[in-house]
Amino acid sequence: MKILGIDDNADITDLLDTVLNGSSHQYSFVDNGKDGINLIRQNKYDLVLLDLAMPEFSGLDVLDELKKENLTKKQKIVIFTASSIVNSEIESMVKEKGAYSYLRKPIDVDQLLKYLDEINED
Amino acid sequence: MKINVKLIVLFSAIMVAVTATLGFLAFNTVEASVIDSELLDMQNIVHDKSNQIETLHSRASEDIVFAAQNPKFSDYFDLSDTKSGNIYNDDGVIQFTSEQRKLKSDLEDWIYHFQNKFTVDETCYIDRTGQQQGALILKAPVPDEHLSSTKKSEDYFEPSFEKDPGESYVQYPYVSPATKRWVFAYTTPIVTSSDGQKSGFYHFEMPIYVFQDVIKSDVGRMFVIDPEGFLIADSNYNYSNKPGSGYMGQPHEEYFPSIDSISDSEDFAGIVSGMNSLEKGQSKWATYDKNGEKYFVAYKKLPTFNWIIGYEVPRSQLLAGENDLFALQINLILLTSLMSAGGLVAIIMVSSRITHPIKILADSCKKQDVHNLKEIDLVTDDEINDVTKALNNMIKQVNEIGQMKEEFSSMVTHELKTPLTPILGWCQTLKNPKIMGELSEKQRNAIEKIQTNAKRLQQLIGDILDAEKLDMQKMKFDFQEINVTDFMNYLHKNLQRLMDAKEIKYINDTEPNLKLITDKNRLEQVLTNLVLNAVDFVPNKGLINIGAQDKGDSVLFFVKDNGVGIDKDKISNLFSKFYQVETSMTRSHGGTGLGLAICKGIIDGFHGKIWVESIVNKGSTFYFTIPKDSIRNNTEKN
Repeated sequence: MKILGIDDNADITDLLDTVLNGSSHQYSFVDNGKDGINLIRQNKYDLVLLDLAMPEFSGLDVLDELKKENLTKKQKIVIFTASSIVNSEIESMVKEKGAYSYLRKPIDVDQLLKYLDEINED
Repeated sequence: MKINVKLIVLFSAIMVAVTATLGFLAFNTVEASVIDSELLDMQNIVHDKSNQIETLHSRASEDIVFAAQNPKFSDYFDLSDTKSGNIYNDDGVIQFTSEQRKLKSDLEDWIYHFQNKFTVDETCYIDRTGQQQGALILKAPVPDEHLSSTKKSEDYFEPSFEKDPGESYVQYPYVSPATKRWVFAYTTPIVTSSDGQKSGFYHFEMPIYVFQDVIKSDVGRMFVIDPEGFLIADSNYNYSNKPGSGYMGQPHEEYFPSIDSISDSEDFAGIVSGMNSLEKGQSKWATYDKNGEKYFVAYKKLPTFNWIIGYEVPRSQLLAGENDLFALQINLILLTSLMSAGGLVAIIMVSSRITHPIKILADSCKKQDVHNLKEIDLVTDDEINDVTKALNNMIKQVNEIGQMKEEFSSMVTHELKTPLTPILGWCQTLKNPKIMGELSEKQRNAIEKIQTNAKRLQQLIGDILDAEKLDMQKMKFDFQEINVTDFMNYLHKNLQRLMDAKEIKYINDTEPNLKLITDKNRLEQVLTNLVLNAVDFVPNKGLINIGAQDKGDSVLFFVKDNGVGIDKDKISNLFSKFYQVETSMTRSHGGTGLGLAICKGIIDGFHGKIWVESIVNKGSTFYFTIPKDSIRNNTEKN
């Protein structure tokens, strides 16, 4: 699977780098939404891991921009959120913005790996 | 007391006081002038009566003087056979000559005519000697030894030839020898010869009751007193005046009442002494109290005998005839009532204008949702506007603070959560031998410690966030139908691992096939919290019993333990924020003290109830109910 991670927190991208290192997935990271959109425009990814809370250009802005360019359905987008809003609200937001699913922070690494496998099998 | 009631009472009191004072002043002024004019009337009446009495005297005096100059008296006294005295027959009857008889008859006619002028039937004497001896009695012959009674004053008549002809004298009262009743008398000398010899006296008695007729009074009391203190006449006293009602030599005190019968007070005695010190013809007035009432007395000294004529009227009678004063009183009462009524209406209107906005203000404040304060829409032209403005300003600030608090806590929790992701992630990764390789036992223990504490931090942040949401009533629920039986089985299994350390017996008593619409995650949070508490408080090899039962309208959940129990006095605070039964317990499961408060908040959010039954050293059971229609209640509320 070809994965793009978009997160401004280098500790998290480092962690993801370490975790994914031993896996069969291809992956790359950017630390801001604009670079992420550019990469999505130019490349074909299977999965985008998108952090919602980023300065200047947030995950939601990325989703809006991708939707405008009809790029949301090009790949599966999984949102990372630290928000404490209830599941039903996140779900409706995911649906509205054209994302695939969401994961709550703090991310459970074991769960993430399991989740990636599930998506891969789809 | 309400403001409008206060205002009404205050204004009413002021109005009544003001109108009453004004009314009292007006009434007093008018009353004083009325009394002045009434007093003047009284004095005029006194003058009138005194003039009448004086007229009586002067008429009688002038008439007897005139009578004494009648030539018939000279003729009578010139008759030679009468000069030596009367001639009596053998039976003691006076014998007259034919000439004498004719003169006598003429005189009798004249005297009769004279008496008619005064409508009295008293005797006229003609005293030839002036010594009360051998008087020629022209009518009603009587023994003549008592022409007068005891001397009573300077003006007492002393028949004397010293008196000049043409002068008359009024004699002090005595009992008439002719009619045996009290009279006073007028006397004048008769001069028959050109050398001025006084042959006799003409003497006319006037009954004393004539005064009674003069001083008759419908209002008040009129009286004539003499310097000795006798009431010579009194409109309130019934003097017996029939002929024969007195006897010769009768003492005055037996017939005339004393002045004390009017009043024996010192005040009145003072007035009487003032009366006596008046000059003749002088008049005055005074007041004194009798029987609790004020009496007005007008009085005047008569020229004759130093008598005083007095007229007293009580205040009530003085004003009784004053219809104007009565009308004024009625008008004042009417005016006061009208003003009070009008004022009352005005005050009610004014006070309602004042209190109405206050009520609106209070009502708007009562209706406020503390988590979403709305500005009050009220504009007035008084100080209440300032209050409204101040309140609105406060509301704005409170809302801003609420907003800031919300933003702050959301920011803080987010900032706190952010580092947790790499911490927990790295811990997990480190523990994964596929990624990081095998760790030594020491390294693994260290990672475990970091991970446990990071999780605890995660729990704390979650609790604080939940408490904050419950506080602000901003917690939202994901309602969906769940199978409670399955859910409880899952929970029983999921929490089983917590029981191992203490070898706790952990039982699930849930009815089969129990369904409920609720927020599954929040329900799990509540039950997990209660079970974690129970684990802390049960002894080793203790018992924890969870379960759920259908109660018709609701489902009852319980978490029972046989732990240390809770003191009764601590139960009421149990569900308050940051309260723990014993602080030492905090450490064992690391609660924030928010756990039970959050449970209560969530169950309240479900419109359910949560409570605890506990016996110390026997254990506690936490119960909570969730109504089956909690979702409907929640929808309605939102």
